[in-house]
Amino acid sequence: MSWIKPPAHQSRSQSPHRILHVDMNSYFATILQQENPSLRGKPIGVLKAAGRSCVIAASKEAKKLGVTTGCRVKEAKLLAPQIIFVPAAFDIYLSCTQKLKAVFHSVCPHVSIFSLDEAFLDITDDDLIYPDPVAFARLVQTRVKETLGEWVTCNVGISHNHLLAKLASEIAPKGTIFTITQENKDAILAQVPFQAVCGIGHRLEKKLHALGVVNPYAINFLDPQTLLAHFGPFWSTELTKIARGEETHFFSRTPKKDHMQSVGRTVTGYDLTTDPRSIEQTLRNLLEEATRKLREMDLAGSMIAVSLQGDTTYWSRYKRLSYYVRHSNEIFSLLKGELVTVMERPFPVIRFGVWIGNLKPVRDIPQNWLPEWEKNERLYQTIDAINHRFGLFALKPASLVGYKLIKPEVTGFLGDKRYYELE
Amino acid sequence: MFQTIGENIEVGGVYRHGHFVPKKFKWKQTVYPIEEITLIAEIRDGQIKKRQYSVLSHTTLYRLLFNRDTENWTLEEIFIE
Repeated sequence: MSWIKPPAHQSRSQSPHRILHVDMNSYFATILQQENPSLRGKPIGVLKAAGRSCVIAASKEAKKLGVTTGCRVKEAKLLAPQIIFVPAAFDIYLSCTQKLKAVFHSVCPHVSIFSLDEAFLDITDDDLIYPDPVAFARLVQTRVKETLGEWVTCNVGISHNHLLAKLASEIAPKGTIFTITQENKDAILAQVPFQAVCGIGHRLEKKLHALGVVNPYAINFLDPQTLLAHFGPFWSTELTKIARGEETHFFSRTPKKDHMQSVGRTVTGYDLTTDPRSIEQTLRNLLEEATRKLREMDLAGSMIAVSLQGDTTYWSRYKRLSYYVRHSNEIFSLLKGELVTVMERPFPVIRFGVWIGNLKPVRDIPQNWLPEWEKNERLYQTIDAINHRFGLFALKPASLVGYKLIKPEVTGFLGDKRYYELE
Repeated sequence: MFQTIGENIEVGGVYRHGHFVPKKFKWKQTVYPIEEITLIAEIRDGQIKKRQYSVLSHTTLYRLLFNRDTENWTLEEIFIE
């Protein structure tokens, strides 16, 4: 049997786009409640690890009591004295997102994983199979429950573009489906707060409020000159599109390259430290993880950066190289050179970061014939093979012996989704 | 909170539609019947694939880890209120 389908360009020109945005409800907390029935129906605060002081996600029940992402543990206890704090399980979240991706692909060919708990499904060309987007959204919700469990729910927003589909799922009550059409879009844009619109951050919202603009639709009342004067050429155009409910640059852009542009890793420690050895070990640990990802994707970079953050001080350095690097010992010695300046006048550090950018596939860069580089390449190929076989950090630099290792973890916004093959 | 255990265990189960379904596990000479599998997660450690089963036994949550490479089972964690 074969499906007869009109050519893509024909159907697209005849009917408006049909985009669905699937937003998992309180994902980090809900998955833990699904896993542990004794937590269901109770206010849960997810911490990055036991002993941390910041709530990175809250359950539906905790949100009702006023606990939000970013709340301090003390603050959350005041808002919800019965709150239970549980450590995040990043491996489980990643596995669940991979399962979700498989579910979405089983029902729709055009899937774009937007973050760990969000995805866009484009059914514009599937009108013969799915004539009713709401019925399709219900099917998606059912499949999500069947795959991840009965406690896991999601909102589905439907519209003719990504901006409005995401807005629809944002304002829909938990576990429901909401559609924004050409007819109701203006009324909705006139009611929603700026936080509900993807692309408008806190600073932009503040600037708009200062101009007397209190909702996205009201941007239409600002004349183009005022917009241009206050927001510049890029944001004035973007804000005009948002006010009209049109697709913004953020959603319409297409990835330029078929590989990741950069890899980085940051971590926030438990306590402030001025110990140079501890700072160096943490940075080395992060660098080992980042460079392993680089080599696994067969990439090399020519820009490197390091950052340290304390209570009030932020320090960072970046270095543009005239050659490409991918071995942690080489990058670390370069970064150490930069660190010398800060080590002369150390400040208490709690947040650490390393970054390698301007990445290129190794096949596209001039081959390095230096014996030292070749030796390093062979060494790291062996280390990677051993770590692949026996688990991560089975072989590690001597400087990390006796150090409590920081293991890789996936982030909510899924910056390295190409690495995790979620794109 | 989860209490880390990390001890080897024996697991008995059945195959259903080509998938292994754990039914009970033996830890420290005690057999724990599995009443419900609440979540299954596929985890990678380097190239080693592991499958984590979150299971309920007598209303207590256990995380069982199956190393798909060595085919070993470990009791990773127990949730203690």
